Amino acid sequence: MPPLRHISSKQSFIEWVKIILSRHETLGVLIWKDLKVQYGNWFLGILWAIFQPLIYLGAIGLMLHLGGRKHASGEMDPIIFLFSGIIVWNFITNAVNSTIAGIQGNANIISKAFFPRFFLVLAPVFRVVLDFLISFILLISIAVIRHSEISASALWKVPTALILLLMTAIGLSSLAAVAVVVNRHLRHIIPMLMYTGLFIFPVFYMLEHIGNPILHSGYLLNPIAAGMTSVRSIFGTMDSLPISLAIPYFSAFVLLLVGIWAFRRMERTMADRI
Amino acid sequence: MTAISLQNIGKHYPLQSGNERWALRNISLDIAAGQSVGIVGHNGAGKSTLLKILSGITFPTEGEAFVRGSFSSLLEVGTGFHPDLTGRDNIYLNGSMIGIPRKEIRRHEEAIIAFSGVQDYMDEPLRTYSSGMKLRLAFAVMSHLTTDILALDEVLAVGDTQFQVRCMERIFSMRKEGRTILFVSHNLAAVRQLCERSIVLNNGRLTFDGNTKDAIDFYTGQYSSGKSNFRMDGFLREIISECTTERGSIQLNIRDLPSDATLDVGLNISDSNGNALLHLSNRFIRKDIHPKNGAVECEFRFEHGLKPGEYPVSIYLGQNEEQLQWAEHTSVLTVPPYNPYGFHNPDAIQAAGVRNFEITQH
Repeated sequence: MPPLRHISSKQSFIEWVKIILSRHETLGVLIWKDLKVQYGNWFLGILWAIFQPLIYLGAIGLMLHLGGRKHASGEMDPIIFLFSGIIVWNFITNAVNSTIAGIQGNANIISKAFFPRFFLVLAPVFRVVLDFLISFILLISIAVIRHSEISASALWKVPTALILLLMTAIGLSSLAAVAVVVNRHLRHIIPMLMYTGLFIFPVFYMLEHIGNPILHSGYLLNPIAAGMTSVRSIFGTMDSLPISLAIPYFSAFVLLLVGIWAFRRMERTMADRI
Repeated sequence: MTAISLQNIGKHYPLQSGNERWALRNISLDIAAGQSVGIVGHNGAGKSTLLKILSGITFPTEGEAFVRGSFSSLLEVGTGFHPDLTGRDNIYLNGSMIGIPRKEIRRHEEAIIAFSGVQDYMDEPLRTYSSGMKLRLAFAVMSHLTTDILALDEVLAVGDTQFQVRCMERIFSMRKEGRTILFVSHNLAAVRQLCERSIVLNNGRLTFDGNTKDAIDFYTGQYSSGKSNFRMDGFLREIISECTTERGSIQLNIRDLPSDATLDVGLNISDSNGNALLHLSNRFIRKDIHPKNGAVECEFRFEHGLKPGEYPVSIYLGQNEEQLQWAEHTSVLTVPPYNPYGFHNPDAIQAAGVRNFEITQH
C-alpha cells in the first residue's frame, strides 16, 4: 500500500518534520543551486568567503585607528579580537540577508512547485555556515601568523558556539522570512538593520565596557554576543561571561522556537502572498 | 483503491478590502487509482487552486483531502529552470522541483539528454537556449517522472503542434502505465481523448462530475442558446443567436464604447471541443461599423454548413487596432437536428460542410 498523505488546514509539527526529512534531497539541491549561481566556480566562492570579512576588518580597523581609539580588547591581540567579532556578525548578517534574497529569487518556484518551505531558511543558513568555516580557518591562520596564543583546551567551544549561532541564525532568518512575506517593503529595511548590528553587538568593544548594568545583563542573554565571546576565548584567558553559558543557549533556543512557530503560521499562505 | 479523496475542500483568499473570495468551496470527490480525470472550467474557476492544494503548494481553508501514493504536479513547464545554470544542471534542478529523486535523474541522465535533442548545448547556460530548446529539455525531464499520481495544468498550452502531439503521446503512455492523472486543460479535444471522467468547476464550485462526454456537453451547454444566455459584462448588452439548418444570425447590442471610432467585430464559432471552426469579421468583408454615442446594434447573417449540434460563440470587439473585449464562449449557436447527407451515420462526417462549390465530371 503506498503511503497516505493527509491534507487539511492544519498540519501537526510531527508531520511537518516528517515532510522535511523525506524531502532532504531538495535542500541539498537548493544549496547547490545557490552556490553555483552565486559563485559560478568554487575558487571564486572561496575567494569571496575570504575577502568579505577581510574587507570589513580593514574598514573597521581603519575607522578605529583614525578615530584614535585605543583598542578595547583588553589583553587580547586587537586584530584577533576584531576579526572574531566580524566573522560571527558576518555569519548572522549573511544568513538573514541570503534568506530574504532567496525568498525573492525563488518566488516563482514557491508558487509552482511543492517543497518544504522551511528549506528557504535552511538552505541559505547552511550555505553561509560554509563561509563561516572558511573565515574561521582564516582567523586561526591570522592568529598563527601573529603568534597569538591559541588555547587548545578552548577549541571544544567551537562546535558549541556553532550550535549556538546556528540556532540564532535559523531563528532570526525565519523571522526575517515571515517579515518579508507579510510586508515586502521590509526586504530593504532588514538588511540595513543587520548592518547596524555591527555597532549593537560587541564587535569592536568588550562587554565590560558597557557601564549600564541593565544593558550589560541584556547582553548576557544575547546569543550573538555569547558566540563572539566563545570564539574569542580560544585566543586568550578572557572569560567575560560570569554567568553560565547556558543562558544564551536558552535564549537562542527560544528564538529558534519562536522563529519556527512564526514561519509555520506564515507558511500556509506563503504561495498565495508571493 | 482510492488515490485521491477530497472532502468538502474550500479555499478562500482574504482581499485587501476585507472581503473574501472563495476560490474553491465544498469540493468533494473520490478518484480511483489509475483513473484519468479531466478538470474543465473557465479561467478563475479554481482548477489551478485545486491542483495546488493537492500538491501541498497551498493549504485549504476548510475540509480535508487524502492522497495515496507519490504525487507530482506540473503547473508550469520547466519549473525552477535557472538561466545562469547549464542545461545539465537544470535537469537536476527541474527534476528535483517536480519530485524526481536525484538518483533516478542520474540513472536516466543520458536518456533525458538524448531525448531532449539538445545534447550539443548541455554545458551551455540555459539563457543561450531558444524557447523551443527549453521546452524540449523540460519535456524530456518530465517524461521521466515515475510518481503514482500526476497533476498536469495546461501543459499543452505551450509549444507548437508537434510538441503538443509528443506531449499527448507521452501522457497517453503514462496513463497506460497505470498512473492516476489529473488533467487541467482548455483544450477540450485533448480532455476528451485522454480522460474517461471529467469534472466541471464554475466559480469555485463543482458543477458536474461524470463521464467526459457529458461533462463537456454540460460545460459548453452552460451557455445555452438564444436570448436567455447573454452576459452583461463589458460592452455586450445582448446577444441573440438564431439558427436554421443552413443559415445563422447573431445580433449584438453593444453599449458604452469609449469612442465612436469604427468598431471591429469578430465572431468565432467553435465546436464543443473548443476547436475554432468559423470566423466572421467585418474586416474580412471590408464593412465598417460606425457606433453612435458609443452604442451600436448589428446583425451578422451567414450561411454556416454546420452539422446539427451546439457551437459556442466567442466575440471580439476592437477599436483603433486595440482589443476592447474578448468574450469567450459567450453564446451558443444551435443547429437544429437534420440529416443533409441522407446518410445512415452523419456523426461519422467531420467538419463543416461547404455548399458553394462545383463538381465537374470529365
